[in-house]
Amino acid sequence: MTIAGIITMLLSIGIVWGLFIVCCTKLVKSDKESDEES
Amino acid sequence: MNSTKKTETWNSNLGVVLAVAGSAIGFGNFLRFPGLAAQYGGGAFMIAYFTAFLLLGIPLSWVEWTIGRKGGSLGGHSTVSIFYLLSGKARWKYLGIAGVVATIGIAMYYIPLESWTIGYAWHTAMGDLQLQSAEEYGNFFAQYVGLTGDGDIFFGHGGQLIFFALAILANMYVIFRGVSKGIETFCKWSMPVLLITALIILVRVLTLGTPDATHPERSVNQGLGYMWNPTKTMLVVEGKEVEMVPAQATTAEKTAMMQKLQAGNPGKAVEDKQITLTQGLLNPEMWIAAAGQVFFSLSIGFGTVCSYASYVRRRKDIALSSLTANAANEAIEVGMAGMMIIPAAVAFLGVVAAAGCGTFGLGFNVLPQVFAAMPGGVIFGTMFFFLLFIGAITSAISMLQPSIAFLEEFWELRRVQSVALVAFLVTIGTLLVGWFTEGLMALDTMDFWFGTMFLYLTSCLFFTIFNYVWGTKNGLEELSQGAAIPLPPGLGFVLRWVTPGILLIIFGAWLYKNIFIQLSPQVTNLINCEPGALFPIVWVVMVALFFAFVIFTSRKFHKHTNPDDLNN
Repeated sequence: MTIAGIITMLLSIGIVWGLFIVCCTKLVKSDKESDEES
Repeated sequence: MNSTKKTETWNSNLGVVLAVAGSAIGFGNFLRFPGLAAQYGGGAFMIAYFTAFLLLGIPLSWVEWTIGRKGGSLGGHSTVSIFYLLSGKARWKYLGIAGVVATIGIAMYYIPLESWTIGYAWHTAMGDLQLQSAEEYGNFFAQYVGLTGDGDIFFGHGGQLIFFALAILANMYVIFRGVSKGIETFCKWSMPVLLITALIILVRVLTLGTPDATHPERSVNQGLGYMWNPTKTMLVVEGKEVEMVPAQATTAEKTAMMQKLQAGNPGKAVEDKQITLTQGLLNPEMWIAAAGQVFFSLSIGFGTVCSYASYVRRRKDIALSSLTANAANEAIEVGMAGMMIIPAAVAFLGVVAAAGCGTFGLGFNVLPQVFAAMPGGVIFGTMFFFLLFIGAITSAISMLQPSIAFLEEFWELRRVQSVALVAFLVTIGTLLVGWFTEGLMALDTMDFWFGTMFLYLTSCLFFTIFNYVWGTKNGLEELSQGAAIPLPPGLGFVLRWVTPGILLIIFGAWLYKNIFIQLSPQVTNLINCEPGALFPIVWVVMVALFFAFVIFTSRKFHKHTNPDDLNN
């Protein structure tokens, strides 16, 4: 595996997992807030 | 306006997100994506893939969620009622049948696939897949799925009918339990199980190293390189990639590899093929393949997400929920499958086994060989097929829900009645797909028409409704209601012009390739009235006519509605 391959892989995985974690965190927070409101 | 009363909603945003993610995660994530990324070179493909995700996947998903939630707030839960409620025109009810027929048509061939995964999990666990040669694995697959002849699986000894029945019953049971108690509860349990199972298999694969010291070119590192290196040199024998030249190899070493390959393949053309980042980015075929992968993998545009979103409460967020479901799909596809399947196949069997063998070939022919050679392969193989089963069942149930909702709202059937009726319609279709298995003709035909052609058509209907019937501005206002994230600037322009444009380009490219250049076998088989192509299609047409009859005889949703009233 080349350095460019490692960078491509880590960047791609970082983007998707980063997006997923940020979205999940916001979603759980939003769920809690709406539960408290109701 | 006459509308049905909304009886069910999701218990939480997380529940609907997991259900939509479950609908999306399936064979395409684990088996199709890795093959495409490797074929076009990881770097170039991923640039095209992420561009398509941003400009096609996320916007189309938002459109479907928005239409779904708005329709749900007005009392509709299928594309038939929702299209009518948003347009106020009776003809849209009949156009909306496309969304219900596409999903039930896909379910008819997805359930047999689901039964394959249960069967393969069982046979792996029982040790039946410890075979001696690649040919034996090929024969097992051919006999198991009935490639050998029509009706073979009904008289086979692999327990196919039992797994068939199990798959149908499992789907119907989850659907029967309802949206919240059935689908949501099932997905809340099964999706974490899928994630953990995938993680365990991933760790196993990444720690394989070089399983056979006599084949140093067969290693996980080489597999990851084959998958992700943006620039690579492949050795090709008569058009098929068989080996990757290591990045550090000198010209002399490369020549030696080619000579060795030529000696092993006398009389065949051996060439080297350069795959580079620039070459990939200038290849329109790769852009279309990447856009197609995003489109099919996210399972958007054919009515399941619309139906699921119709059970979201009016003031609840959909912008973030939609993005999270898409992100979950991508995390599994890129973040897990991308490091798991191809590296494992290359580590045990070399590039030649992993390259260009197609979704089913990779999943049911190559991977059983990999698990048979892997230490602890019985356990990991069983886990893998169980993982595929979860992916398949969460997808299949999402395809049944629109039909159930449609029958409940138009004929006002109770859950048990609508499930029984849909079970009957689907079982007949499934049995036809299960009978005409020679060359997988029925399955291929159904996938061509309902899993591809209808998907493009229904997506176009969603954009027409959103942009031209309802209005982009109204749609954006609806999307922003309760949104837990700010919407990006310029989204209106993207939704109105960019995303439909990309959709039309990939649809056009697909038509050009499959209809205009040369009629694909799925079309010619139908024209030639081959029973394997004709009977399943005739059955789905009959189902569509039945649905039209249901609309015609129903007293629900029969008054015209002014669309302007719906924007308040």
